[in-house]
Amino acid sequence: MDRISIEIVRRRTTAGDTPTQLDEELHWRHMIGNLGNKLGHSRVLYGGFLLSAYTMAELGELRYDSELSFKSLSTSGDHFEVQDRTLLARIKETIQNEMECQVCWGLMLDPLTTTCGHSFCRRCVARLLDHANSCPLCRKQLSIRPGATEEPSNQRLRALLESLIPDAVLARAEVVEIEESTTSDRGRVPLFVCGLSYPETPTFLHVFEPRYRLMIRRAMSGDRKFGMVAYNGRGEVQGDLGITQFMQCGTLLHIESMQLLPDGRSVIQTKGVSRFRILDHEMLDAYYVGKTERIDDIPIAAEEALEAAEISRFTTQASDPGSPNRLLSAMSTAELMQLCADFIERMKGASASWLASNFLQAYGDMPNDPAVFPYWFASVLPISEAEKYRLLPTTSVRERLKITAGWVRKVQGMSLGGMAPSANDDDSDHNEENDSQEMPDVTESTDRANLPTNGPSALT
Amino acid sequence: MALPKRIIKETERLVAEPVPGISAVPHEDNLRYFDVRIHGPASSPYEGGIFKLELFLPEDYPMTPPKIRFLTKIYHPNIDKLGRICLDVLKSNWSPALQIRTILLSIQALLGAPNPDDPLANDVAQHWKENVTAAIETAKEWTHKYATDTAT
Repeated sequence: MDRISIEIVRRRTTAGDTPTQLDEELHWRHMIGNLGNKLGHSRVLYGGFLLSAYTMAELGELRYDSELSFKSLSTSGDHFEVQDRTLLARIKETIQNEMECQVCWGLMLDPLTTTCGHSFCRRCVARLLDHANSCPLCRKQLSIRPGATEEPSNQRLRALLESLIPDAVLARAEVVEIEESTTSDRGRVPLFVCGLSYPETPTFLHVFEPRYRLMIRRAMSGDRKFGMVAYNGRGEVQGDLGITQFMQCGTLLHIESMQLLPDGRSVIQTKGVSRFRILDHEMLDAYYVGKTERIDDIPIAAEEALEAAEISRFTTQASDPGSPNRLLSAMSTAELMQLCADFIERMKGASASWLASNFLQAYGDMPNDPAVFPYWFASVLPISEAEKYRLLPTTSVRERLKITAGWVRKVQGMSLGGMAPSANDDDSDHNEENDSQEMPDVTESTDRANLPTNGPSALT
Repeated sequence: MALPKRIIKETERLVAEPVPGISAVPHEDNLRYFDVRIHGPASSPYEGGIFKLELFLPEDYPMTPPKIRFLTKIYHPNIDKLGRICLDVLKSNWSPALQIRTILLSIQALLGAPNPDDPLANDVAQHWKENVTAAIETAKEWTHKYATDTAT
């Protein structure tokens, strides 16, 4: 308000000779009961309607609820209108500058006033709370719940902004909307760099880092989706992306439920929606946003053709169809599934620790759908992340089942006295043309290191 | 990602209304990275010196403070050999309402008022406490040696 009076004073010195007759029209409440002072004030002032009205109020001759009638006494016509327009534009500009949030330096969006009397955008307050619990201007402790969703807006500020500079408010809201929206349907996916998740499978997360609090909050106010990608712990090249902090393929997750803790941390339960490959990435407020393409399975017809082609090609080389070391590629997709299902049955019978009830409670019982089974298997089976990651870029059910059947063989090989498990099927798989999924040796050693720690006795 | 509006505005204002004795120029290829020059305050041991610093705005700026470091060698109890600065507003007392301008002013003020009771460079602070005159003399020498045009 000080700035407005400064602006007025500056204007007053340049106000030309444009006299205006101002008559105060009192509110009816002042007309009754106050017989001595029935009439409003009346004056001739200069500088257009706005300036003269301001002057009148300053003189104490204009009550808050009074109306005011103007009559131009200017002989030159409409000169005062130009003055009013210029002054209004200046006041709008002044207000716009005054209404700048001290955090984002933009026009205050949905202004919220703290108990210490300072106003910021609601979204800025929410971000502040992710980091600290004090007012940026006076450092007084804030008593606002995380997310700042429950605090009322400052209605007076809001009304002032929306009535005086509605265009600027709208423009600001649009800019923020564009900047922050990372809805998955546009292929822009906010990325949570953490671990592996799979479609149709639950993932539970404890969100505590400020950047991910912000990311999850934005997802919750949008389509509730975000991408989960594992750390690229070994610094491997991720296709065209080069060496990135995260793996190139990930899973789009949908937030099923969220429990916000009083200190702003949260526990969320998600379910995998689909897989994606990251084509490009950028930073948004300290978290990654990826431009992604969806990874889908090939159509069923193509899947069947693939199966038929592989079987006919590999059966010729295969030895005994009943042999436990039969080539995986020579097996039908249904047989691969059966091989895995039998293994799960046997492991259940042996009370394998990774099939304990608490795991099954979280991930459900074994799904019979061969398309989904590998994801469930990867969620419960204690093998290396690198091995599990191989499922994400697959484009056919068969490809995934071959991977999981390979795991079964490997685990069985180990439990048979630690024989080199890869000797049988993995080597023969190398004959395949499309063998980009070949496992590096390192993976295998990680595998063996991992397996026993997760329940060696159960694997017998 | 386009630079946040606030960083653009701050940069514009730093250029349009520069602080006397302080300059901060962003790198062309990385607008979050600034070359900073601070003139040693008058009647301090750093008077006459021009100190180079680097300033980086992290991805979550202004929620987290800028990262700043002296590149010019300086003899000061609150600045260590690596140029790191011990200043509360750069650490726990940071607030998003602060900005590049106010932070650089705080650093300039720190040059004018060394605080050996909250040291970062222990040996310098010790020197400062035991023999202020000699310590100030060393600071002047270093200023002349490292922070003037003649400095190699």
